[in-house]
Amino acid sequence: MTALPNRYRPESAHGFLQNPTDGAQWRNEALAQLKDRGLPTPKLERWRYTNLAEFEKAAPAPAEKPELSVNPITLPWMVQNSRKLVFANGHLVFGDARLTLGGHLLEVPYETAPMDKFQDGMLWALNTAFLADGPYLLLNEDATVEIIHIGQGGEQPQLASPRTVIEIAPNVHATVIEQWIAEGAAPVHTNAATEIEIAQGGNLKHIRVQEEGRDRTYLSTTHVRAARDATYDCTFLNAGSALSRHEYWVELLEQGGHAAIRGSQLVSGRQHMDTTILIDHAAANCTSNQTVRNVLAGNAVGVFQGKIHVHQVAQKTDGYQLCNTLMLSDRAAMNVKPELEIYADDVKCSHGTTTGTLDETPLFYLRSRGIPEVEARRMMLSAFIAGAYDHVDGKIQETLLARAGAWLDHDLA
Amino acid sequence: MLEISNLHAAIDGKDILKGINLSVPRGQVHAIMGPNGSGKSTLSYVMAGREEYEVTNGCAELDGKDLLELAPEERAAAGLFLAFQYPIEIPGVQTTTFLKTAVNAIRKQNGQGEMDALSFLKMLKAKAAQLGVSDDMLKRPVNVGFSGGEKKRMEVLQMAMLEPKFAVLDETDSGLDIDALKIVADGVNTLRGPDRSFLVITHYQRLLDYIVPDVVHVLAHGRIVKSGGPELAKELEASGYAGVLDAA
Repeated sequence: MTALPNRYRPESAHGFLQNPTDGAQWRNEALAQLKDRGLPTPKLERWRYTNLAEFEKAAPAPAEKPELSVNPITLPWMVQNSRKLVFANGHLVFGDARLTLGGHLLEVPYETAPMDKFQDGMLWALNTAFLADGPYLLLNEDATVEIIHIGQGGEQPQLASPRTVIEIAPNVHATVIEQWIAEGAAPVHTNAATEIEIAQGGNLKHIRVQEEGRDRTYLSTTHVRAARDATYDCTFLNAGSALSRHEYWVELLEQGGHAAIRGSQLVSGRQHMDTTILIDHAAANCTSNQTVRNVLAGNAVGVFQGKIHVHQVAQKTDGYQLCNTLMLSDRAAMNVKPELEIYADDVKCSHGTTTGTLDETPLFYLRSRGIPEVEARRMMLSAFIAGAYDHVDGKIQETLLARAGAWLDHDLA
Repeated sequence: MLEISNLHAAIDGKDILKGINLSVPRGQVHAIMGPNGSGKSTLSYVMAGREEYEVTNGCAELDGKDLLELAPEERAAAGLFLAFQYPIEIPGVQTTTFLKTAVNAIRKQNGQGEMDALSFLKMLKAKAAQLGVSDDMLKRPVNVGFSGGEKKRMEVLQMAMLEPKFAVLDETDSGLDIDALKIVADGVNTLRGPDRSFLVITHYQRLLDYIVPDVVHVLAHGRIVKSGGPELAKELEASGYAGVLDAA
């Protein structure tokens, strides 16, 4: 075995290795990987802008199944006739147990943890090491599933490690809505892993809202594999947590695949928020779209890293990426890293990024029509954010815009 | 109604307005003509309260209220309206929503309650029809993808909806063909009345055939150098600014 390059820091996982587990073999394998490589550190190129030092130091113990302090019925569900699941700290607390990993824990192929392929899969290993449960959605017919994850704080800081597995059967069109919210006192940190497989002609609309507590670390890794003519269409709104990283590895494995990841990062105070996307075009005639809009206020730090990787066989790829940022404060910072890695010669790939302040001219125009400055600013910000949700329809769009509006009213007041 | 005296204004340290004196009585329409760079647009922006312009001297009052002390939105609530020479596009803000927000913002500042949605829509439909503004335009984001003529009609529609006491039209005729010009002029003429005054800024006499002014002023080098009746506009059209400026 060759020595690992020194950009890995094995000792960074030591705190977590002290935490107890049930000793299952697949856990032990994951723990061994962690012991080898540690947690991601800024020495790794893809982790340059996000530092997990505090999370590493806290090394919170795996969360127990908590007493829920809210009534699931009263949670902010978006769709009336959806199948509904509630997880608290990674444990099922409401909904149909057949739709969860629970009893399947031993059957699910955890060895697919794509650690080596994506180089920095240590958080995936950490999730495997401590996961208890999670949604397990084998969708053979069109369906809408809503999942609310509650970080239910107790007396001590804890770590929730939910694992989500979504499999979309051929030609099935499904919508999965995930929300992450906080309850209770001491922080519940999250290290989520999501594995999605979309078969030929399948279509997954994935709506994700992250509104975790502002004293918490939120880490999420999503691995998507799309077959021929399959579509992964993700829309996100990230506004929560103290430090967060939302990482996507999307593999377009066969012709005609399409991936879209679009949404907004709303960041204020001392928050640090990172969205990192890799779209792997491994077959011809696939398309992808990354559209991210960021609003930064206070001392916030935002990160967007978007990579389009086009394999040599992936001719006629159409890859698109756009990152627009509004900076509302001199103290905020935005890090943007677009990357195109292209080995095919007949492709269309584009990327663009803008970072700036709110434009004074339209602001003056609105004010000259009698709209007070505060309201005029809010209108423009709200319109900017709404630009990330043009493609979403009806009730879900309304909900996303309302949540963004609540953020504007609360965080920019 | 509008009293401007000895108004000086600068942008980036450069003096543009060098002592404007202008009095527009209630119910009158005054036109301001002048060559490029004479300060016409600066005057309109200074009146509306654009922050880039620094007022270095003088005052401007609307019905005894000091405009220069007020924020742009307060000037609008006081009854001032500026139809922009280049109307601004605002992506993501639907025109109807914008108009409704503006109408209600002004009502609120003047201590009136919000207009109910139905009355608002009824009023909007009627005025939009008059100006040839389609439902589709009202559904689109403010000015986004509008042609030059559509933007100008939208300015006049905004004016009709906000019912100002005093409206400044900054080259509202530029970029309009003759049909659009008639529609816009009709829109303005409909709003003329004993309680409302206008300041029409234009390069050309043509617009003044349709919106007949009570007084015409010539602005040059940041000052009003000549004033007269509607015939002054015709004189300018015939002899150009050079003649008038030399005489002044």
